[in-house]
Amino acid sequence: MNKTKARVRINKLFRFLFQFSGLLCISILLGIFGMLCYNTIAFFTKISPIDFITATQWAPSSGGDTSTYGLLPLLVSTLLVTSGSMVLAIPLGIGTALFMSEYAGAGMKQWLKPTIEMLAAIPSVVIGFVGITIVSPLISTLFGLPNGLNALNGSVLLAIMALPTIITISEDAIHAVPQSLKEASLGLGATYWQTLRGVVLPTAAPGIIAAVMLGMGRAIGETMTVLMATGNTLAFPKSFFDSIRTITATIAIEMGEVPYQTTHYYALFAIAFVLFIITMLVNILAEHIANRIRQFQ
Amino acid sequence: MIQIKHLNLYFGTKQVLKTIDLEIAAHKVTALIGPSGCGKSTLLRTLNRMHDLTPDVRIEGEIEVDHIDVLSPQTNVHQLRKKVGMVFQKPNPFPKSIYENVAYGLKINGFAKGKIDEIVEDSLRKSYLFEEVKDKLHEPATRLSGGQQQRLCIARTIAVHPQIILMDEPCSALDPISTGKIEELIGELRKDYTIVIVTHNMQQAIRVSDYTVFMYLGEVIEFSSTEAIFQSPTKELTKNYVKGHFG
Ligand SMILES: Nc1ncnc2c1ncn2[C@@H]1O[C@H](COP(=O)(O)OP(=O)(O)OP(=O)(O)O)[C@@H](O)[C@H]1O
Ligand SMILES: [Mg+2]
Repeated sequence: MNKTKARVRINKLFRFLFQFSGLLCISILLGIFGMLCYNTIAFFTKISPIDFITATQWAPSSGGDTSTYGLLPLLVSTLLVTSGSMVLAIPLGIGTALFMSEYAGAGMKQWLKPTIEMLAAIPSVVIGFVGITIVSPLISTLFGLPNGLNALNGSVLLAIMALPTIITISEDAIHAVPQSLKEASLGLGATYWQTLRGVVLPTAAPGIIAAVMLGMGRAIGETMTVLMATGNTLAFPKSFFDSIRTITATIAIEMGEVPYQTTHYYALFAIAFVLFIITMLVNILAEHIANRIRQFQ
Repeated sequence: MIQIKHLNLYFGTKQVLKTIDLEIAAHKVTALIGPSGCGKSTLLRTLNRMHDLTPDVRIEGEIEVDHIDVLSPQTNVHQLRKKVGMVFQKPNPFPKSIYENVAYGLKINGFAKGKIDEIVEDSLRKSYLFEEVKDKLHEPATRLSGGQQQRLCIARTIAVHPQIILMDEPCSALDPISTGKIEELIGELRKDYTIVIVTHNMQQAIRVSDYTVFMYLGEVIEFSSTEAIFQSPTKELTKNYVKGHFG
């Protein structure tokens, strides 16, 4: 009898603990979101949202009337490096995952997978170093540019950082495709390549999409690497060979110096809010696509 | 239709098929029976070269299907598998729509869209499935019942117009009613196809097959008309097995 009582009490205790930690997570999330919203609204009481969205310059000057807070150059910079990195990382990542899962022997996979996972452990400052000392000179000699600190450099580095996530999660998804489905396809006379394209990749698609989104999330939110390697120029980028400054890098650079509760201070929250909305939209979209595919499984 | 001569098969050093000689007749249903692990699936999968994917397999002997030398490395295995279709033990529809499942093999072969629609409907009709699914062709195949899924897999197989259909315990995952439907379907399909079916169910072998092969420990013990195997087996081993003394 006593034992039963004790067990009930322990059950209750753990239930309470789990409930508490769950609630804590949600309240932290809501707290951060609330703070972003509050400061963003404060910003829009001073600068009209239309000016924020349409102005083509980000030129804050503390206190003066001459400042403009144009989101566009930062937003375009962020989208440019991120999309560039995805153009590089998605085919490379999925290709590597396919190779590892379908072609590499057990021995090769045994060392390849941990090696790739280790890539994810490299701190972003170190990747920034690599960008400045290796990739940037390479880009400038390859394309005959005076300076290799540009959007392309950022894209290459972000691709490197997104690759481990994309590869390992895609590989898990591809590996989980049942052998019976492959046999069904081969049994109909399909070649191995047709089977990969027609059955394996579509079946693994929800997992692959999740992998790409996680990788992209990492690329969009990455700060230190792009801050170090993209030249930090506050101009409207015209191509991958221009120096840029992303939303993240702008916040990191300016937050330390900006006086508390000025328009400039609020402006940094506003662009952080934009970043938050982008990553959220990307996630919702990904979830939506994955669900559409998943209903067939 | 299928000639198997002196077939030996090894997984690594373990011999799983031992000097098998068989001649399987066209437009008949041949049942493979025998205790678990005797090599029925292995033999079946040799006929459409499914072992190509398995490492460490060694195969000796000769198999001829409709004048194709099955085991020769020069043989176009994709061409062969179009001739020799396969239905698996567990229904394994692709995670696609019902329509896409049947169309898959046709798309691979580059059929035109209009032609595909026609063959899809025709194959579903031949598998007795069309009436049940005609209003939901574009819904996920995985929402069908197990029995419907298995009939879909049969439709998918006959869509590419094979001459031979290999079935590895196609009813073992199904309830009696679905099993009955599949057996009825097999009875219908025998008119157009040569069927080789592995089964653990003696009654099923009696119901659907013309010939029966009894295998034991990798060897063919007895091969005869189904009636003879079950009414008057010549070997003691066969008699014991079909009477249910072991297995
Ligand atoms: N890929 C493989 N590697 C090694 N051994 C295998 C492999 N596949 C099957 N075997 C072995 O070969 C023998 C025959 O297997 P098989 O699957 O053909 O038997 P079966 O008659 O179909 O049995 P069941 O009725 O249980 O399906 C078994 O002893 C099995 O363990
Ligand atoms: Mg078997």
